[in-house]
Amino acid sequence: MAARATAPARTPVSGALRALTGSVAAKRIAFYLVAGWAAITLNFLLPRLMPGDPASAILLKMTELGPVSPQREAVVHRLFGGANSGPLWDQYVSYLGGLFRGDFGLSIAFYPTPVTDVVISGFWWTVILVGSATVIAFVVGTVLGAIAGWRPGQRFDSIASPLSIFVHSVPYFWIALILAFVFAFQWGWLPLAGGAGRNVEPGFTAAFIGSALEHAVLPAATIVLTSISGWLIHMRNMTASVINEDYVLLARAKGLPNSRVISGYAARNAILPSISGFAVSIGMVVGGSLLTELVFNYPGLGSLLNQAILNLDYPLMQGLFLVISLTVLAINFIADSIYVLLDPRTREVS
Amino acid sequence: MRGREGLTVTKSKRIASGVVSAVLAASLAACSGGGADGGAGGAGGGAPLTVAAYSQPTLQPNFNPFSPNALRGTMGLIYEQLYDFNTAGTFEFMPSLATEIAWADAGKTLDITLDTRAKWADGSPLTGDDVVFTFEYMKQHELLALPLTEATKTADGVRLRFSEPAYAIVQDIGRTAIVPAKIWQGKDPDKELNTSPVGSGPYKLGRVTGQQASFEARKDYWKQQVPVGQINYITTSSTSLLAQQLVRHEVDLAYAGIPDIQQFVAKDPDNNHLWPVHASMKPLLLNHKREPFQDVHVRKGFALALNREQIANAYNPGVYAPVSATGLYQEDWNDWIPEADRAPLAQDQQAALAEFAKAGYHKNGDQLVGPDGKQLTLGVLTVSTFADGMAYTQELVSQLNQIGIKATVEGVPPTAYTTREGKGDFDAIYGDAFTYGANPYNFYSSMLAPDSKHNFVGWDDPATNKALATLAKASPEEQKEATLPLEKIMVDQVPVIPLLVKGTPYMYSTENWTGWPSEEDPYTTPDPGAISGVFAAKLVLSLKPAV
Amino acid sequence: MRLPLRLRLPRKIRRPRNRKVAVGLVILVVLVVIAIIGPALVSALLGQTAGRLHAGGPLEPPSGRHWLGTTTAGEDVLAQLVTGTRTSLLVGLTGGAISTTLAVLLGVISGYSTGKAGAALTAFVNVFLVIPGLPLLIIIASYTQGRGGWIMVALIIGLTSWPGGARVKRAQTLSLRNRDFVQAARYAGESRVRIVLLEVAPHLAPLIASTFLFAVVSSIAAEAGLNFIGAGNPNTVSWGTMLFWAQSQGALLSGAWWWFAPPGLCIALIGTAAGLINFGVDELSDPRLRARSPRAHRKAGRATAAIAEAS
Repeated sequence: MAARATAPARTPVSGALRALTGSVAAKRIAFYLVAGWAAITLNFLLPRLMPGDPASAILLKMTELGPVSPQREAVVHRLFGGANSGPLWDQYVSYLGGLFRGDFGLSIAFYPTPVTDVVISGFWWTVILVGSATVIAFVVGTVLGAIAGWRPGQRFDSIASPLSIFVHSVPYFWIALILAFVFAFQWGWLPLAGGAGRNVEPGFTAAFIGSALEHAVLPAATIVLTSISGWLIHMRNMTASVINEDYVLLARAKGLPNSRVISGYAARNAILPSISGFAVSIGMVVGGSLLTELVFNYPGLGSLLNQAILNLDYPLMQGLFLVISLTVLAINFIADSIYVLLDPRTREVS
Repeated sequence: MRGREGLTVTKSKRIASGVVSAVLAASLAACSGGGADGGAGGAGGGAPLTVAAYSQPTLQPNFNPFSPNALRGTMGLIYEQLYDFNTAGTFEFMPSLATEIAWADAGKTLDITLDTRAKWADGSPLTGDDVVFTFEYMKQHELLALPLTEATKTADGVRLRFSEPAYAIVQDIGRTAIVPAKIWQGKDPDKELNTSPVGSGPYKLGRVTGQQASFEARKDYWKQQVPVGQINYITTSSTSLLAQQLVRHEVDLAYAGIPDIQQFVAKDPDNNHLWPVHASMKPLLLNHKREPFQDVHVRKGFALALNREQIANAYNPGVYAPVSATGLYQEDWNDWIPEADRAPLAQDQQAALAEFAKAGYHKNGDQLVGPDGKQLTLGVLTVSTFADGMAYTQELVSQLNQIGIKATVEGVPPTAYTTREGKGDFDAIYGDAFTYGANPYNFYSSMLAPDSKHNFVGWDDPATNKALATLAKASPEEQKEATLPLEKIMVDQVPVIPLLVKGTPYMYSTENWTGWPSEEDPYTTPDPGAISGVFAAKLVLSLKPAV
Repeated sequence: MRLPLRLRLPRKIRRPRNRKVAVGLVILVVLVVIAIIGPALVSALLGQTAGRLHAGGPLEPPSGRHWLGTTTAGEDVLAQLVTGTRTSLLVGLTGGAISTTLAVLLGVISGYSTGKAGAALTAFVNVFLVIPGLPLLIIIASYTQGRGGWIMVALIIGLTSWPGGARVKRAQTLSLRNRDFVQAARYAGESRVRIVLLEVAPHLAPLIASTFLFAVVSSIAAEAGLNFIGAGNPNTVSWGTMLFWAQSQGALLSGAWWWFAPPGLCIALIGTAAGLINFGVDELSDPRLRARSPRAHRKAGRATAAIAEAS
């Protein structure tokens, strides 16, 4: 009734409320639209909270290179006036308008390169690095967790579980620095830094992909090592719970081999909550990869974000924030949908 | 020795051409003996020269010489400037597109003789028309900060006319990068990325990825055979990463303050070399708009309380050095400084306390308290991401603590730093360096002129302004005399507190390439084009493959 | 599903019933003791304080005078470590308390209230959940520009790190809302505030305790991350600033493990302690997580604690 009364209001929130009466799918989609809009708006506001004036920062940089004419100063202030020019509402409207055209404006740190070009240059590096590392951590952690949970308290469990908690607690950058120092600097097994070899032409060639993989090993290992624990512990506890369920006991009683019982009976149900956890954790992994990218001089979104912050590059920051949040949102949506597909119960719930 | 650059042109030209011919011979020898494995399509051979040119993780292609974000190598490797003066050596004239300059009309006219051999990469000749166009273009787009009234073509070059004597800015004039008129007509310098640049320099653009820009030697460079076939300018996100790359011989040249720099040399003394170039001065800046720093006795007290030697040793001993109270580095500017002022101030806590006493500050227990009974307190602003700056500031602050001042390090990220500097929101700054030029005019005016962007302390003094105006117009012979009043103001008024001369630690490896400039043979500053394209070109044209 | 577990502290202190909990508690207690008396002890026994430069030569390896060696500026690493323990724990506790308070408030309210307010709050929590935390933290930290000491850092961390905890609390509240005892209270006409405070909140207590523990740990890690990228306050001595200095002065490259390793290990240690406690509490509340086989555990009956200790 309340929703009806406010029906004429055009705010997205009330739109979402009206969707409550609709189907579950519509409700979910409405939620993601609201969340997307809120993320877009927050991205608009956040960089404007940052102190500083990009124009003065650029002028200081220019005066270090050579003298700057007073007229030039005026030009720089005009070009790089930053986020604080004009009323906020006008800026917001033109920001939204730009978004629909896929136009985020020109980057300040890389002026006059468009923000879109800069973001694209880092996007795939991070998506592939973080994506593959998270999948590896998820798979390895889940498998190890299932093994540990199969015999809780036994040798494997009593070593693997506490050890994974310890590794998880080590700061990202600390482990990254040690990995780089040992494997790249001391032993020279893997490259120290960068996204790919210096003399490899980027493209879909075996040489480039091989080089990129080689460069991704250490940063990916950092992410895997520090995020494996969550999956392991979770899966261990879930498995330990379900092995007492009747259908698992039955499978064992039938004399099926342990591996079949784990993969076919126990893990199947234990894994469900892990999938929803996957979505939440991806946001944390993206944050953590920022530091990892810095250590390994990796050309991804984390490095770009760092440069945007150092140069007070509001347009670039906005573009990066938006891409990161929307990507996380999209992954959440996908994980939600998979969850619904895997677990028939959720389709009727709520 | 210094400051006579305008007059010693002919002599240094001789020296320079001697160097050029020696390099020519060397590079010819290199070519006959060496393979061209690294230089894809380049003129020279040998391994690629890898330079850690960027202290940021990623880059975007931009080769517009008028853009503040132009990538390194735009100047020097692709576009050439007119001329420069060797700030690492004895300030001799360094020819580039210009072979000679001559002043006339009491410094209001400069005649520039161009090298007639100069050609653009497309084969067409580089003429006085291009030079005149470049100056006109910059003027039209408000890029020119010189008091230029007119540029005209002459028989062997161009003539520049100025509205006032331009002796002091001779180096700025020379650093103008010349672009081809036929290409740049109608281009907007604020929007152009210029990703397929056509210049006159020894290199053409190779591959640009997000983390490096490669340059390939031109076979048909107009001046000489190019010895280094390929140059890679790479990005390195942190100094500790750079240190690892240097030790592993992944880069041939770097110029950042890496931690434990001497260890880099110690790891491989035959190949790893360090040459600190002293080209700028780092003072302690006190904010004159805040109490009590406008009091000259307080500033003198600070100047006397600090042990410069110990601060210099706080990070990479041997790279920075104490500097005289005039701000000029006594080793390089010896005959410019009156003898009494040459030695850097020594720490003298008694004398410091005496100066503080004149301003009403007395020792109370272990605190230095003012007339209001409060301890003298200040935060020293510095950039938190610069490891060296943080270490120097930490040492400086601990010395101030020793005589009872409550000083703290205010380490902030670079943007916050420049913002607070610009707004005057600080007690003290330790982080800015003031560059010496071919003469001390730019050095003093950027520090002390009321309209300077870098006059952070807020110094505005009629005597200083008068002295600066005189120095600006002084002919090269008069410059030394005209600088003395400014030096006296520095010593007596202490507008800023000179502490150290900054050593830019050039680290290079002779594993692949030799012929680097050094303390013994400082023929150029080994810079990747951040300071001057003339320096950069001189360097890469002088290298020889290691045998 | 984790059942509500009442924390009966006296019994726990007398004899932690689970080895993991015991180990975790011991680590925590040791670190807290170090934080409280460490600085005074090091100053009294060894005459070292955290802020003093040139207490020894640059980069001295561990010795009788400097148990953990010195930094490049000649500071005593042990003195820094114990002072850093105090600062880091304070940052962790303050940041953790703020974060947990926000998480409980937003989680419980959004989970309990129906209608517009509840939906709006839920959307709010979920939006913050997808905004990457660390970049947000960096932007806000750059606003303070290192002013305000460790309190400011803790405040910022607390204000940005609540969404994960809020989500868990919301889910738990949702499930509690429909339980019989809450329904009964509602039919009895009790006020909402009363129900939330007296009926719902107590059942969330174990969950809140575990959220708090992890909020403390992640606040400490966030402080270290902030310092690592140079957005922290370098004047304070904490595990994070120690790592910042060690890293920026090239401790690893110079082989100064005694400077680089201890702060990182301390962060890992406190995280491990929290992880072990949480892990053990889960086992205590749900015997299936530790029993070896279903039959053994059923027979064991009252002796579950004994099995847990043996395992």
